[in-house]
Amino acid sequence: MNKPSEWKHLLRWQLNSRPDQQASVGRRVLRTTVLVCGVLGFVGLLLGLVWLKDLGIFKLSDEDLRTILGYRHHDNSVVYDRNGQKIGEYYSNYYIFVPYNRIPQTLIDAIVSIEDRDFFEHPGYDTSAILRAAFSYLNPRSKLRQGGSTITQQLVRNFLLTRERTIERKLREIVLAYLLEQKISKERILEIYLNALFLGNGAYGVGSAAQRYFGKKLAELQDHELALIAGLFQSPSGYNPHKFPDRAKKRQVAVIKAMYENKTIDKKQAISMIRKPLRYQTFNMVNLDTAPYFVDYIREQVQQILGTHVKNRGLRIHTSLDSELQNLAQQTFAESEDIFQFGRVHLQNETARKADQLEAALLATDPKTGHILAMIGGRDYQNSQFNRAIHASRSPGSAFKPIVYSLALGQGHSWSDVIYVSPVAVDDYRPRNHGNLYLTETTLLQAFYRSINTPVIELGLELGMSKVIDHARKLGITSDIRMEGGSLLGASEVSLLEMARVYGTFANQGTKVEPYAVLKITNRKGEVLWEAPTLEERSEAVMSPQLAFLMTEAMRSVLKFGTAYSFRELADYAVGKTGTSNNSRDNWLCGYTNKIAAIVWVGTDDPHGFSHEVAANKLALPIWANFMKKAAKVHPPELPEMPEMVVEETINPTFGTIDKSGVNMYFFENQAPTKTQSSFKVLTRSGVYRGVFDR
Amino acid sequence: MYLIASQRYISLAIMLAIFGGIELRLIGNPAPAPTSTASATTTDSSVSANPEEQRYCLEFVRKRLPFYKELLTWLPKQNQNSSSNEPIFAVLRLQEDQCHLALSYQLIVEALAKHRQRIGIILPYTKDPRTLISQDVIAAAQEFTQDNRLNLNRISIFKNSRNSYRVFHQKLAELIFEHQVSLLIGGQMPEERKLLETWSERLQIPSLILSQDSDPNSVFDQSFYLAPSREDFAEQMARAASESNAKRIVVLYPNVRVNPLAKTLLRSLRETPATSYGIGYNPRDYQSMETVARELFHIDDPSRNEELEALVEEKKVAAEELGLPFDPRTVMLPPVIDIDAVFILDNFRVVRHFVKIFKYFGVNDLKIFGNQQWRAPELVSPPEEALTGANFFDFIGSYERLPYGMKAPIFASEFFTVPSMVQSIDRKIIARHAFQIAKKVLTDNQTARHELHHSIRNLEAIDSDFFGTGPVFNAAQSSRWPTFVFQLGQGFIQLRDIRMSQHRTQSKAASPRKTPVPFQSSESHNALSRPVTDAAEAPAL
Repeated sequence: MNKPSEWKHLLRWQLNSRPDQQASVGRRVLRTTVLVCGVLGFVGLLLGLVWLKDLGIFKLSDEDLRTILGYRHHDNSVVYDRNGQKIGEYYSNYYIFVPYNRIPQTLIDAIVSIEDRDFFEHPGYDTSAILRAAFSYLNPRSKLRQGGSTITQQLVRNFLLTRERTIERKLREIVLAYLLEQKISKERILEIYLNALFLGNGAYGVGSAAQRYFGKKLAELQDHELALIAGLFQSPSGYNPHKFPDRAKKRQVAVIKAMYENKTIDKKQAISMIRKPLRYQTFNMVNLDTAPYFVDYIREQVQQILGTHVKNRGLRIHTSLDSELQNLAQQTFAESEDIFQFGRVHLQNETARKADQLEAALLATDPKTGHILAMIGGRDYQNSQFNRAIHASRSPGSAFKPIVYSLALGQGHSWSDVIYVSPVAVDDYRPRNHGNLYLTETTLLQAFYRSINTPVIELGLELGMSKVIDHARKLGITSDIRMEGGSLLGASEVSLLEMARVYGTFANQGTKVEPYAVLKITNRKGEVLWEAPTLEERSEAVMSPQLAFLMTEAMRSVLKFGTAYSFRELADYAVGKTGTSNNSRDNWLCGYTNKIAAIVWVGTDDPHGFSHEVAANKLALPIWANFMKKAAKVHPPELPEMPEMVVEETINPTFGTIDKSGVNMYFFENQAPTKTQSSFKVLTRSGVYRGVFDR
Repeated sequence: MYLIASQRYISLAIMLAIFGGIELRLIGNPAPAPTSTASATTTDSSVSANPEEQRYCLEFVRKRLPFYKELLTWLPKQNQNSSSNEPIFAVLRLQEDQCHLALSYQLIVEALAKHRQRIGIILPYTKDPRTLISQDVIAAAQEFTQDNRLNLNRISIFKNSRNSYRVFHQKLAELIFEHQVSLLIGGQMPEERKLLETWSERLQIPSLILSQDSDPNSVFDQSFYLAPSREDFAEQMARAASESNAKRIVVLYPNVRVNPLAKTLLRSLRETPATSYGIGYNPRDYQSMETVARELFHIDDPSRNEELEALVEEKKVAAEELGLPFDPRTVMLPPVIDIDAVFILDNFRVVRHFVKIFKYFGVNDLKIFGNQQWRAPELVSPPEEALTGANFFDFIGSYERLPYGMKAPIFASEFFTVPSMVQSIDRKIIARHAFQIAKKVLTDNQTARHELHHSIRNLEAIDSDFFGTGPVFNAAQSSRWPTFVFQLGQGFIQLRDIRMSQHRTQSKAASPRKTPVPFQSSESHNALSRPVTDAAEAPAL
């Protein structure tokens, strides 16, 4: 840059241009006067130059413009669902970047007409406008309050200077505007100007203003709407159409008049634009629209993946969310108000009951891919942003039992094994059966689908607690499982995500797939910053397909004959397991089709108990069932095929013998029972057994 | 022999016809007292009976004949055959004033002695579960006749009592009057057993009862009980327990119905050095069983309150140290085991539950004894460690070595049969035992019917391999069965011992009886017990 030299040249030019003349006295007087004036002027000029020097005008350089020259457009990071539909965005200030070539010409015309009609001609400043502004400044009584700033000056002011009304600031503004124009194109200046400036209502740039005032993308706005946007630059808050629609309309009319005067539109167009009604839309945060808890979860995930914050980074985050399924989940919750009320009135804690502290969460995944398809972290995001689907650690109760049973089957037990249901004690742990169910016998399958507690304890003790814990880890439980009897009945807390992993493994024929929500992260140019590991990388076969099938069919029995019998019609395509922790503090339904694994939890954040009428089958089950019915229409399920080396038999659920009137049970080949007779049956039918001495 | 008998019956019938006429004429005009001793072989109507015969006749007419007449009334009128010359009908017309005649005595003897070498079986086979029970008896009869190459219809007559008091009497009357069977088999169910016992005694017809002696103190000379003797069984159990050095024994028994075995066992235990007592429970009520265990092991003993408080405090402190929640309700006192053995007189299912309840209270190694109701594959499958070493007693050993060469399907091991057959086999063995005895008695003896009971009583074991040597019946006329002692292992049972009931040569008549027979004094009973081996050779009295 050679700015100082230019100014010296200008000064020299001015000095050299003074006439050097011989004069009479009058002329001498005049000359003297002129000389004095000249000297004074020179002195003044020198002083002015000194002043300007003090102001640092001569030192202004590219460095001072660095903020603008190096400006990178802010842009919200955007979250997309699996179909590319925007479901969320992360920002501190609301930016939607629109490149210059995508900015509607009408908007450019409008902006230029109202803000700086000579924008494309001037060198960064407009002399006449400056003079007008100077006059206005020197004459306090002047009513003229023109800024006189070009678009470039406004940009400089917004980026580099304060808004104080001083000559010094104005001079710096002019100089910097001039310098800026030397460095970057008019289009670039306009692009920055249109995208970076605050336009009220939390919006920065025309793209975000279009979204916030009209709920549309910029390209979708009509001319009259663009005119309104153009009018906002002068006073974003003053012309905020949500707050001051009349002012905004007047400003729009002024913009349209300016456009007409600038001959960018004709009269007819102007009238048409003025007459068209402006229909504003209240801004809805997209984050709240579809899957607020999921969008929060994605932010956490992306921050973890990239190791940095995500706001306004212009990231494009592609996720696994199935918006349709998500909507169905939310619809299900909306339809479950009666269930929530039922739960609420049965809360034992009065405060919780009065305050309606009942909460619920839902998590749905694709068992084959591990993709998280739907997520609801609470009943009302506005009320509580705590994401229970991810961060709540709760006792799964009997929903943990499939882990124990699958280990038992893998270790040689079969569903037809008979067990005597009596109380058991592990040290001082003395679990009870629901309804004090003792003095009966049952097959393991019946114990499973009726969710009888004591057989699980016996199995667990037989298998060994550490083996059960290892198996749980293998299936996807990552939380701490305490080395105590209660853990066999699901006393150790886990998250919905973990349960989704476990049940997804059963659904996916024994192959565990890590649940994933973030599929790909790109920048706004589409360059891939991160991509999820491949399915193969995320998958691990942790049990045989045969064992997974045995478990799946057992969970079908839960619906057909067991604790989820009230929704037995779902057994045609879905399977599941109820889980109720002590005092019904946690109510779970974990289940799946071959397309969707869905986990539903209902309870309170401060774990309050419910009265005895409440259990998983009253709270979580109906919600889960309603969701699965809806989901089945979107993702029609298919029944799993029976794998090789598995056989089916009809077995008496109590005695474990082959019985045509029994229930279907599945076995590993060579493990199916062959007995058709049972002494229990004899005893049950006759009431006595070998009572020879009693007669 | 039958020809001679027939000739004699004709003479008797003629005489009775005459007497019948006299009877009509002598109403209100007593006959003269007999003056001479009647001969058993004479047909002379004028011969007088000796005093003993007269007394016998009078007793019969006064005390026994009314029962015959009563039973006759159960026959349809057209079948009552009042004009029949058969002694059994002819005797019904006998009057007290005819007892002075030797012929009267002879007629009585003939009527009581005569039988047609056939077995009368009276069973209810119309209603469950009686139908099943009766079917087993019928099946046993069929197997018995097949194995012995006999004609079932020729040796036996089946009558269906239909579990009806009325029908029972009708069918019994048919068996007695029309078929003149040699002995009766029946009485599986308590109500019919009582009827059969009573009528056997009244009519002096031996009965082979297919169940237990309903009351060991009662005197039914004509009734023999084919089911294993409860007394013997209990005695063997008590002895075995005592021999295992158990000094303090508790008998747990279901108290929802009368439990004669428990009662008998407790009585037998009292005869051992061990101290014993019984506790009843409701096997359909878990709480009842848990209460028994609590009581047995002094879990809630008020004298242990201080101990409980100290334990609660100890657990509380421990929980606090570990930062765990503490629930005082989960604290339970350890058991106090002041008994050496427990008898559980209930089925395998209850046993398994009891053992788990014991374990719940921390009792894992109690000596446990049981009875035949334990015997089921489910007792040891799945295996239960706490039952290992326990013993139970049964009257059947291996199902491969049943009495009389009977066959039973084997289930898993020789000690189990298929569950649906297990009760059936019990019944069939008992029924087969009865048929074998009946056959033996009828084949070897041409004894008068009312004397058959002597033959039965003195019968030696037919299948000594199973029943052992010695008499079939004990002094109480209950069949002597061996007692098999089984021991439980992990998933199996094994035969540990076979104990035979002691031979008791003491006769029933000599054994002390408390309850008199329902209709007869012992004096008259003795009079009627004189041996009459065959009607044709009936000794003179």
